[in-house]
Amino acid sequence: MPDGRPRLVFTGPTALARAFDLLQKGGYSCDIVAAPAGGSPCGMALALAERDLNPALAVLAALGASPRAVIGGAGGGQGGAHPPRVSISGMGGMNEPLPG
Amino acid sequence: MIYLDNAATANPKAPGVAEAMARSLGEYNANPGHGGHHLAVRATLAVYAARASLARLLGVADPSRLIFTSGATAALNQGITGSLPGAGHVICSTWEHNAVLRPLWAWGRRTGGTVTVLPAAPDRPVSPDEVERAIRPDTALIVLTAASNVTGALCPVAEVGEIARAHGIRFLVDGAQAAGHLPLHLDALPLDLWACPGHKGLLGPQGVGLLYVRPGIDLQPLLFGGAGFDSERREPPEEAPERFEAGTLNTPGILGLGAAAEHLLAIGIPAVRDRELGLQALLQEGLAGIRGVQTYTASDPRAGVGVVSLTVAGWTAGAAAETLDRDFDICARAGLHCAPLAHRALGTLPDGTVRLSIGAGTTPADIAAAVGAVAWLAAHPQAASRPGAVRGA
Repeated sequence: MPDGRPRLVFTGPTALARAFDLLQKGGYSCDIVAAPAGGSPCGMALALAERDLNPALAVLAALGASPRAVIGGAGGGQGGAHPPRVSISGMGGMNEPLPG
Repeated sequence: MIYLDNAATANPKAPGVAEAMARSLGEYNANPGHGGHHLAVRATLAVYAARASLARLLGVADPSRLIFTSGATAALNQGITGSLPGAGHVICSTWEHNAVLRPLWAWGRRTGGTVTVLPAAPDRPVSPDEVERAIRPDTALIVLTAASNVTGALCPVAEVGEIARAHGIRFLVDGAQAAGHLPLHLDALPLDLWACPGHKGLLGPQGVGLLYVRPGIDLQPLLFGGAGFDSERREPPEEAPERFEAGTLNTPGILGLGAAAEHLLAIGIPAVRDRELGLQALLQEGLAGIRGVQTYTASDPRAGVGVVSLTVAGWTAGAAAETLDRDFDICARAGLHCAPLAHRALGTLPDGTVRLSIGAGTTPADIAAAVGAVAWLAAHPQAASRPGAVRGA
């Protein structure tokens, strides 16, 4: 069930930026967010409202990108002057299998 | 100053390039794709925007098929070396630049592979029929320049590409003198790889170039290193462009090139082409009437890209170019232009030619001045310099 919390999709930065661009142009709610760096996957992720997760995955698949992981239930955007960012405490859940 | 060395690098650059590069060092001064803090994200999105602008300009639907390199030489090395894991056979032409020839010679020495170099005429760099006749069972790659950097003559890319496709042979095009000068739709052309610099016809800064890789092409990376993700794997990422972009990108150069692409999109490449054709016709008409001047270019400007080589009776190419620079304040390029086989075919070894190449800043007055200066050279064979002339006169 949708819980309104963001979902993070990790993939390569160019595919991520392209998906971000296409989803935004399509009217979907998404952001590129900060995520813990140094691990694998690391660096960046696409944050999506749960209702947007499947379209985003479809866009990424159409782009030929392979999401490295999807994390559910990561908490709270910070807002402010910068694009909303999501803090992830720990790397747990990074290796969850993709839906479907 | 009259700058007629645009085939070496464009001068001036497009409006907005310098400003975009300066902004890169301030507003976007982080490592794109390598980090998740907000400045890295901003840099990532800016690099993507530049990639997307270039994709629109070059007729590429998927921006991730455009690989950023340090220039056309790096792009050609990636395309050649990444396509040739072992011995085999490659077809190229006499018009190739050393950025194509030297990687091929090195590959041949390393693997025992062989290269067929097709002869060509100034008006038409290579014959599609000759390409087809040169194909062997072990031909793995055809590499051709889209336009000669010595004569400007265009290669029949589409015709050769259809032949390559019919035989299942990979086709790499050196677009160094074509990008930014000709309307392009790379997705629609029958080619697999296209390499070009950012600093010539695309009017961007030096230090950044592009390799277009058609989807489905199996290309081995030339460089290995950090990609910013998938760090625990021993192999580089599978997906483009990161598979081929190990290490930190030249963000200032890329953002500068993105600004140049936006400029070219705004004015339109067909308008660039029309303007350059008019200037080339002026130049060719002017030079044709000068006794003692031999030109090497496509006889019909529409078969060229604004590049005209010439020799002047009684002058070495070097002395002629030096006099043009010193006494007429005209920047022209003398020598072999890194294309020794082309000059062998033209019969212009060992001195080469003087090359005049048109660009975005060239005016009809510049062409008239260049024609006048060449006429002076022709009227004064073996003269050391124009008497009484001073630089800038």
